[in-house]
Amino acid sequence: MKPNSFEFYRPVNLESALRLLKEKKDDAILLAGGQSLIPMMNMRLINSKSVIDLSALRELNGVTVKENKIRIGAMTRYVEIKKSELVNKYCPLLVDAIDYIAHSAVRNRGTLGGTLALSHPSAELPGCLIALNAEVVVQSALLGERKINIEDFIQGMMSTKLMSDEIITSVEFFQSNNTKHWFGEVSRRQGDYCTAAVAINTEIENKKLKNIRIVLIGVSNKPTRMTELELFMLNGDGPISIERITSELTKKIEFIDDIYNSASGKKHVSSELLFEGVNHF
Amino acid sequence: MNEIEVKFYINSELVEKRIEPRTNLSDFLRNEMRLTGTHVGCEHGVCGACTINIDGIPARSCLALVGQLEGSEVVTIEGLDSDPIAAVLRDCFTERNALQCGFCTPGMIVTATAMLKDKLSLTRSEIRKELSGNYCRCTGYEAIVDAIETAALRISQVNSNDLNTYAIKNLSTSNEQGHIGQPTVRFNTHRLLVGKGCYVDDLLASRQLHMALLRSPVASGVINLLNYEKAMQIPGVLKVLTQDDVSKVCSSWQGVLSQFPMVSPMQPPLADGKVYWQGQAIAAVIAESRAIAEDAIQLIELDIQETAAVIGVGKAIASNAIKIHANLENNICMSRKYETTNFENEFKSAHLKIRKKLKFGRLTGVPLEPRTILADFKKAEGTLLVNMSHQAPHMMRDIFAKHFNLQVNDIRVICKDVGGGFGIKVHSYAEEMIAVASSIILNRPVKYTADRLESFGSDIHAREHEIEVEAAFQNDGTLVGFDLKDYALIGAFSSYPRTSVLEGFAVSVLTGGPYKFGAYRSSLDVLFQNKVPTSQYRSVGHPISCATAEVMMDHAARELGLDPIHIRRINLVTDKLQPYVSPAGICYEALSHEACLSELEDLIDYKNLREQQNLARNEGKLIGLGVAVLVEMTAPGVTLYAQGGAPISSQDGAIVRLESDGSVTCIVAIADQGQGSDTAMAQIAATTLCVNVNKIRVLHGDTAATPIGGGAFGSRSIAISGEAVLLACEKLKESILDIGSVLLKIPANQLVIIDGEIFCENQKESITKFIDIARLGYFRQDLLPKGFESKLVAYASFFNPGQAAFSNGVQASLVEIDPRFGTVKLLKHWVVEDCGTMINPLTADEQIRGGVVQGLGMALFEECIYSSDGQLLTITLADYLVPMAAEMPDIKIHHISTKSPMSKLGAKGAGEAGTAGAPAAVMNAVNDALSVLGVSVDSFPINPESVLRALGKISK
Repeated sequence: MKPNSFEFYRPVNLESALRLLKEKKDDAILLAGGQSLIPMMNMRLINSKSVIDLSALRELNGVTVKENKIRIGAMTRYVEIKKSELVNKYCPLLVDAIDYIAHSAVRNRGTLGGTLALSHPSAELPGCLIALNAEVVVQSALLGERKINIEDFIQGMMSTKLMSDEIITSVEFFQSNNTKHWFGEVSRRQGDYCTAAVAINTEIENKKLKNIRIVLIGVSNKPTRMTELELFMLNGDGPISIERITSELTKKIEFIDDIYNSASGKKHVSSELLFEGVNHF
Repeated sequence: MNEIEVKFYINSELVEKRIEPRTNLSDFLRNEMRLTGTHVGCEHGVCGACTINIDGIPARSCLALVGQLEGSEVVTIEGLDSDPIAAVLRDCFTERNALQCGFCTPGMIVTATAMLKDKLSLTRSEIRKELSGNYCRCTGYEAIVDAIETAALRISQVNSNDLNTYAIKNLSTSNEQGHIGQPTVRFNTHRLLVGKGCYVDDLLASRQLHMALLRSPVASGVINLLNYEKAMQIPGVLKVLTQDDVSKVCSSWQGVLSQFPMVSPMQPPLADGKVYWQGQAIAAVIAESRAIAEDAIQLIELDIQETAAVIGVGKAIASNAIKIHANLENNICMSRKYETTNFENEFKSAHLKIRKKLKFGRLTGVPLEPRTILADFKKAEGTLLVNMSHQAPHMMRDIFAKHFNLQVNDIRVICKDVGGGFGIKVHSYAEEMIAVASSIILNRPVKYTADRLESFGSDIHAREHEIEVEAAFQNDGTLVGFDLKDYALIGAFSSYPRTSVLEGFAVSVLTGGPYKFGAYRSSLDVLFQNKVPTSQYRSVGHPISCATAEVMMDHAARELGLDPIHIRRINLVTDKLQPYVSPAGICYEALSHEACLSELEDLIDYKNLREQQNLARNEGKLIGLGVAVLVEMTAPGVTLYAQGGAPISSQDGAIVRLESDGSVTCIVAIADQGQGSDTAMAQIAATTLCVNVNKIRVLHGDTAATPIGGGAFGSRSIAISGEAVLLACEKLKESILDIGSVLLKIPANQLVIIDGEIFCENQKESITKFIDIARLGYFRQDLLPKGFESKLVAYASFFNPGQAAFSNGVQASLVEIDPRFGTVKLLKHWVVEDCGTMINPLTADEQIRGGVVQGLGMALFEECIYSSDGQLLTITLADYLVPMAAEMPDIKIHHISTKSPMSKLGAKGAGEAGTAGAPAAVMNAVNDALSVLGVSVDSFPINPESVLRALGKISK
C-alpha cells in the first residue's frame, strides 16, 4: 500500500503556492495535514502527478480576532484550535466537536482547511461551521480573494465550490460574546465516523435565543440545517416532540445508508439526537 | 528517479537525504534509517502502531510524507530510550504484563509518554479514551490502562530530579518467584518496549526483492486476458509471475483431512484461468521495492469475464444453484448428520421446546503485524531459508518440502517475533508459497508483507454460521436435549492443511458440552461460497457452540420463570458424573463446573447485583446481566489433524541442556507469539530442576534448532510443550544427580537440589553446584569412571493420547442499552475459569482478558461484510471494527484449579476460553436487558440497528 510517484512542492508563502497551483492546474493536489488525503494516496484512490504541501505557509496558521470576527487560518491544526483561548471563549462548539474527530495523534496533524476541502459528510467541523454561520475565505492567483458562505461552499458529497486554482486560506465568523452550544454524536466506537452528529449554536440575548442554528451531520450527502426546528426554537412554541423532529427529517433529508446503518436507522438516531440537543436549550 | 532533498531531525540527529517524495515517514524510518521500532500495522492511520512524535506531539508516521517534515523534530521509540517517563512506563508495562506480541507496544509507549507528559492525574476512563487510536489485539487493554495508571502515580510521587535519574529497576525475580504457580514477569519484554523486537519485516536480506500481487477485482469470473508487457518495462521490475511460471516449481494443494467425509478441489498458488473470490492472487510482480512492484501491478492489463457469485446459504444450496467448482457435485464441502438413539421420543417427551435461528457474522483475526515472509532460496546450496510470521514452523517446513519438492532438512523455517497470531498465522497461504516460488525462480531473497487491505482479503475468515436450534426442557428446567441445524459458510476452497470444516464440526460435537442431557441431533452443512477461505481462528467453533446452548438456556429460564443460574446449576455435568461421555460422543473429565458457577455467583455478588438491576430497571434503565458456562477443547491429540494426513505434529519435543556455567537452556518446539509460553517453560524447568528461573533461557521458533512440534494452536503450548519440558528436565535432573553421586560417592537418592546447588539430605552446606557438574561432564570426563556417560542434554516428548484436555469456566457480562440509539455499553465482565495447573497467573490472566476482548469484538463490533455480489466491504481498519480501549470493560478473573489427569504437570489450555464464552454472555446480558420489553436479539454482532429493530424503533 504505497502511493504512486509524484512531484512534490513545498512553497514557503501563499503567493508562490497560488502561482504553482495555477501552473499545475488539475494535475496537482493540495496537501494540508494529510490525515485523510495520505490514506487515500497510500491506497492509490488518489493518484496525482503533483502534490503541493501547504505546511510551510505560516500565514495560514493560527486564530485571530479582527473587526468583531474570529478568523481561523486554514492550516491551523485541530489540536491548536482546541487549545486556542479565543476559540474556547467565543466558539466552544468547536472545542467540544474536535474531541469526536478520530484520535489525538490524528487531531495533532489534521487541519481545518483540510477537512473543509474534503467535506466528508461525516466530518464534524464543516457542520459546526454551518452552525457558526461561517464564511470560507479562498484565494486564487487569478481572481484574488473571495468569501463563500459555508452552506453554499459545501455542495454535496465531498464536493465544494472550491475551484481547482483556489486555496482555502481561512474561515471567518462573527464574534459573539454570549453564546450557548451543544454538540452530540453517536458512533460505533470512540473516534469512528459518526452514525449521526448534531451541532447547535445560538446567541443569547436577554435570556432569549437568537440566530440559533441546528445542523445535522453524517446522515446525508452534506451537513444540513434544520431550519424548521430553528424557527420553532426561536418562537419558543413550547416543548418539541420527536414527531415534529421526524417530520422535518422526512421532508428535508435524504438519508444515505452505509455498511453499518440503514437510512431508516440513521433517521431514527438523528431524531433522538436532535431531540436530546434541542432539549438542552 | 524523481527525488527531493529532506532535512530534519530524528532523535536529535540531523538527517539530510535525497529521497523519493512518495516516501512516508514510517517507511523512511524503517527502510532508510533502519529504525525498525516504528511498526506498520495499517498504513491508513487507524491502528496507531507507527505512532511517533513530530515536534513534540504524537502523530502517525504512515500519514506523514517525509517532504512535509522540513526542519521538524521527529522522535521515535528509539529516541525515548533515556526518557524518564517512558522508562517508568516500560517498567510498569513489564510488571503488569501490559504487552504480549509487542507489535503495538512502541506506539503505545509513545502515546502513553505523551499522555503523562501532558497530565498525571487521569481517570481510567480518560486513559481508555486517550488510548483509543492505538490498537492492541492481544491484551484486551486493561493491563495497559493499569500500567499507565501505576506509572502516573509513580511519577507523581517522585520529584523531577529523581525522575531524571530514575534507574530502571532490576526486575529479575527472587528465588521465591519464578516457579510454577507464581506470577512471574516475562523476561523478554524489555527489548519489545524499546523497539528492539525483530519481526520479519524488520529483516533486511542482502539483494532482497519485494513482491506485490495482482488480485481479482471480482468474486467469480474467467480470465480472458492477462498481459504484463507494460509492467515489465518499469525500471526495477524483475519479473512478473503467473500460474504457468509458479506451477513449474510449486505444486497445488488440497485442503482435506481424510477422517472427514469432505471434498475440496485442488487449489493452485495463483489463479489458473478462473477466479473464485475477490482478492484471490492472479499474478505476482517481483521488484526492487514494494512501491515499484505496486506501480507495475497497475500496468497489468486484466480482463475478467465476471460470472455470478455464490454468496449466502440460499444461493449455495438452491436446487438450481450455480456450482462454484465444475468438478464437484454441488457446493457442499461436507455434510454430517448425527442423532442419538431414541432422539425423537425423548425430545417429544419434553414440556417446553424453544426454536430460534441464530446468525453469526464472519470474522477475521486481525493480528496487528500483517502476515510477512522473507524467503531465501540459496541455489548454490540447494537450501531454503524462510523467515516468516507464523505459529507453526515445523508444519510450514513440511509443506514447503512437499510442494517445492525439497528434502525437509534442506529447509529452515524461522519464526522469531510474531506480531499476533490468534490462529490466523497457523495456516498455509498462497501468498507465502508464491514468495518462496519467486525466490526459487529468481535465486534471490524475496520479501512479502501483506498490507492491511490484503490482510482483510486473504487472511482466513471464520465463524460465519447460520444455526436453527431447538432446545427441549422439562417444566422444572431439566434439559432434555438440542436439535441443531448448522450451515457453516466457508470460502471458495477448504483451507490448507487444516481445512474449513473443523469449526462446524466443533459446533456439532460441543454444543451443550457443560450440561447433562440425552437427546441430541445435529446436522452440519459446510457450504462453499465465493468468499475468502475460512479456517481456524482463536477458539475454533466454541464461541458458536457456547452461544447456541447458552442463549437457549436463558430463553428457557425466562419461559419457565427460573433463575438463569439455577437452570444452569441443575443441568451441569457434576464432578461426580465425570468422566462423562456426552451424547455427541465427547469425553469430559476433571471439569469443575459446579465450583466455577458457585465462585462466579460469589464474585459478582449475584443477589446484590440483581437487586441493583431491579432498582435501575425501576428508573427505566435497560440493564442486563448475562451468564455463559463453557467448555474449551485444549491440547488436542492426534485425532484432530495428524490422523487425517496433515503434517501437524500432535507431540512436542523439548531439549534441555545444562550449560558449562551451570545455566540451563530449554529448546522447545512451541512458538511464542507473546503469550508468555517462553517464561512458563522457564518456570517449569526452574521448578523441576530446582534452580532460579533466571538461570533458564528458552529457544524457540527455528526448525534448524528446535525439536519437532505442532506449534502454537489449540491452547496446547503449556499443556503439551510444557509437559515435554518437565519430562526432559526430570531426565536432566537424574543425570545431574548421577554425576553428583559419582563425584561425591553418595547414592543419588540421598542428594537433593536447592537453587542449583546439590545438598546431601539433611545437611546444611551444599557439597557441589550445577557449574561443577557441568565442568566435570563437559571438560573433565577423565575424572569419571570408565564407560560413564554424562548425559547433560536431555530430550523428551509428549502428546495427548486422548481427544483433548478440556478446560472449563463461566463468564458474566453486565451491559446497559441506550434505547434511543440501540447502543450497548459493556459495564463489567467477569470470568471464572479452570485451566488446571496454572504456571504463571500474570500471563494466564492476560491471555484470558485478551481472549475475552476478542469475544466482545465478535459480540458487538466485528464483521467481514460482503455485498451480494461478493465484494468485501470491510477492507480497512476504519470499516472492520476491532475493539478499542474506550469501549472495553474491566474484566475480573478468578481461578479454580483442577489438574488435568493426562500429564504430570496437570495443565490445560488457557488461551482461547476467554473468546469462547464472551459472546454468549453478552447476548444473554442484552436479552436480559431487553426482556422487560419482551424482545430479544439473535445475531452477532449485536449492532445498534439490530437492537433498534428488536425494540421496534425501526422496521425489520
